[in-house]
Amino acid sequence: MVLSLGAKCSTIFLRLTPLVGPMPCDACSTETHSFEEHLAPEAVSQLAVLAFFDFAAAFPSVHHEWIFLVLKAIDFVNRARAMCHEAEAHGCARPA
Amino acid sequence: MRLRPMVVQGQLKFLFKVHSGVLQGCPLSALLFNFCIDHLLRLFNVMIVKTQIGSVLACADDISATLVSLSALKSMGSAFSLFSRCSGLFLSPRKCVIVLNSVRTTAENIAVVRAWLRDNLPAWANFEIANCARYLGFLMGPTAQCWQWDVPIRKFKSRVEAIAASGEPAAVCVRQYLIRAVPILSYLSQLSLPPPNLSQIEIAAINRILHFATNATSFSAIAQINQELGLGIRFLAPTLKASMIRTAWSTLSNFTELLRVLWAACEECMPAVHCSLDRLNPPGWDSPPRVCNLMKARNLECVSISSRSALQQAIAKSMSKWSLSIQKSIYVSLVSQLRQDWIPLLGSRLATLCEGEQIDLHNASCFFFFAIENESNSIKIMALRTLFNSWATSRRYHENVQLSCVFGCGSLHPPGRDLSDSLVHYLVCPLLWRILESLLQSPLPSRPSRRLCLTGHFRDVKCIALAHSLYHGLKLGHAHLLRCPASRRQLGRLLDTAHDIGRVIFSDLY
Repeated sequence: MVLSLGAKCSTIFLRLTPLVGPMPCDACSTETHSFEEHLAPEAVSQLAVLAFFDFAAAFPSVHHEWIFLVLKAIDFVNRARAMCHEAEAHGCARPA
Repeated sequence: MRLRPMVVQGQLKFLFKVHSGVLQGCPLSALLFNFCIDHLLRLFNVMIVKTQIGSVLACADDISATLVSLSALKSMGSAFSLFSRCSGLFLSPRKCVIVLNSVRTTAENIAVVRAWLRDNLPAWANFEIANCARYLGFLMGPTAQCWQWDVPIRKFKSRVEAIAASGEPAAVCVRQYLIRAVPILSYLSQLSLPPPNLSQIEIAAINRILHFATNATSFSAIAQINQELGLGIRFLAPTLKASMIRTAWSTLSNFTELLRVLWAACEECMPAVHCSLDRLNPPGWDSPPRVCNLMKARNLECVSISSRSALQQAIAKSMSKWSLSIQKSIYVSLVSQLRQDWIPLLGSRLATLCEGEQIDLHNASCFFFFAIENESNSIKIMALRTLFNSWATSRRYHENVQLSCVFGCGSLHPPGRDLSDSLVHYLVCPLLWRILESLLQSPLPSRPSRRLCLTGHFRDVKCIALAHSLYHGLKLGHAHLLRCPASRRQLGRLLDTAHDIGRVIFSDLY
C-alpha cells in the first residue's frame, strides 16, 4: 500500500504497508498489534520514516563569516536601504 | 568577530575572540538565523522535495522530514554535512530521532536500523529510533496518541502544585492557574483530542489550587459556584474544545485540501475505507490523522448534538462582527451548557457539619450565596473551604496522632463531647466563638447552620473567614498568615487583633 500525503506544492508517497507478513485486518486498524514485528535487514532501506533533527546550540554556533556571506549574497544592506530610500510621509489636516 | 574580555583587578583583560553566534535577546537575531538556515532548506528543496522522496518542514532550528525510505536519509546527510562545514551548525545526535512508521521498535528492529545507519551514515548511528517523537510540542508517529498527553499533563500537574504551594491568595492562585497551567493543555488541544479522564484531573487541580479537600467538590458544583460567585475559573473541557474548533475554523482553515488528498489515497490504497474519519489511520497507527480531528471539530462533532445550533450561531456571529474572538464565543456558549448543580453536594456536606438540623437545601444555598456575593474572593474561598470541610484538621488528613482542639477548650465543654481537631467541633467550639464575639463585638448565633450563613438569620460571613484564619494561624504555626498584608486588607484590623489575642491566650503554642 502506498499512501499519498499531499500538500499544495508537493506530493510524496509513503510506504506504510508492513514490509513482511500479512495485511492486517481492517477492523484492527486502530490497534498497534497490527504493526509489523520483524524487520528484514534487506528491507530496511525501503522503510518509510519520519526524521526530526536538532542542532546542538543552534543560535550560538552560526559562524559570523557565514552570516556575513549570506547577508552579502542576498544583498541585505541595499535591500534594507531600499526600504527607506526616499521615504515620504503624507497627511491631511483633521476636519474641524 | 567580537572580543570577550573579563574584569581582573578593575581592568578589562582579553580572554578570547568570538567567531560565532547571534546576540541573545537581540530582535535581529532570529532574522539573521533564518537567513543563515534558509540555504539548507533550499538545498533540501532541491534534493528531497523536488525529487519526490520526501518533504521537509522547519521552524527556526527545528527541522523535520517525512521520507519515503530510509535511503533518502543519505541525501539529507550529505546536505547537512555540507551545511555544517559552511555555517558551523552541527546536529546533536542524541536529540535527533528517526521514527519508524510501519514497524515496531523492538530491540531487534532497532538493531537492524542502527546497523544500516552505521554502514551508510556513521555520524548518525547514535540517533534515537522510536515509534513517536515530539516536534513543536506535538508527538508524531504511529504510537503518538498513546503518549501525546502524558508530558503536558505531568507539566500541568507540577504547575498546579507550584501554584498551590505558593501560598498566594485564592484570587491570585486562580489567575496563575489560568495563565500558567491551562495554556499547557490548550496548545496541544488545537490538533489533538484530550484524554477521557481530563475532568478528573481538572477537578483535582481546582481543589488543589483553592485548597479544598481532595474529593470535596464535584464538577457540577464547581461550575455553579464559579457562575454564582464569579471566581473566574476557566474550565478545561470547554476551553480545549473551543481551542480545536477555533483552529479548524480560523487558524488552519485550509486543511480541507490536505484531507481531500488523504481521503482519496486511502480509498484507493486501503481495502475497506468506509468513508469514516475514524478509519483513515494506516495499519498500526493508534489514531487518525490530525486533519480528521480538525474536520470533526469543524463539523462540531466534538460537542453534543443539542448544543451545536447554539454553537453555530456563536461562531457565525463572531466571524461576521469580530466583536468577540471566535474562541471566546465558543467557550461562552459551551460553558452556558455545563450542568450546574451543587445542591446534592451541599446536602452531603451539611449532613456532616450540621448534624441533626433540618435545613432546606435550596434556601440554604440562596442564603449562602447572598451572604458572600459582595465579599472579596479570599473571603468567599475561606467560607467555601469551611462548607467543604477543608480546614487542615488532623481528622481531615487522617493523621496518626489525632490532636484535640487547638484552642484548648476541654475545660469549657460538657463531658462526653467530641473535642478532636475537626471542623465539626470548631463550628461549635465555645472558646473559638467567644474570641470571635470579642473581636466582632457582637453576639454570634449558636447553631452551626446559622454560623455558616445558611438560614438568613445571620449574614456576616466574615466571622467564618476569621475563624478559618485564626485556626490556620494557630494550627499550622503560620503566624505570618495573620500578618500578611493581603489578609489584612481583606479583614481589616480584626486579624491583627485576633493575632494579638491568640498570642496571649495560646502562648504555649508559639
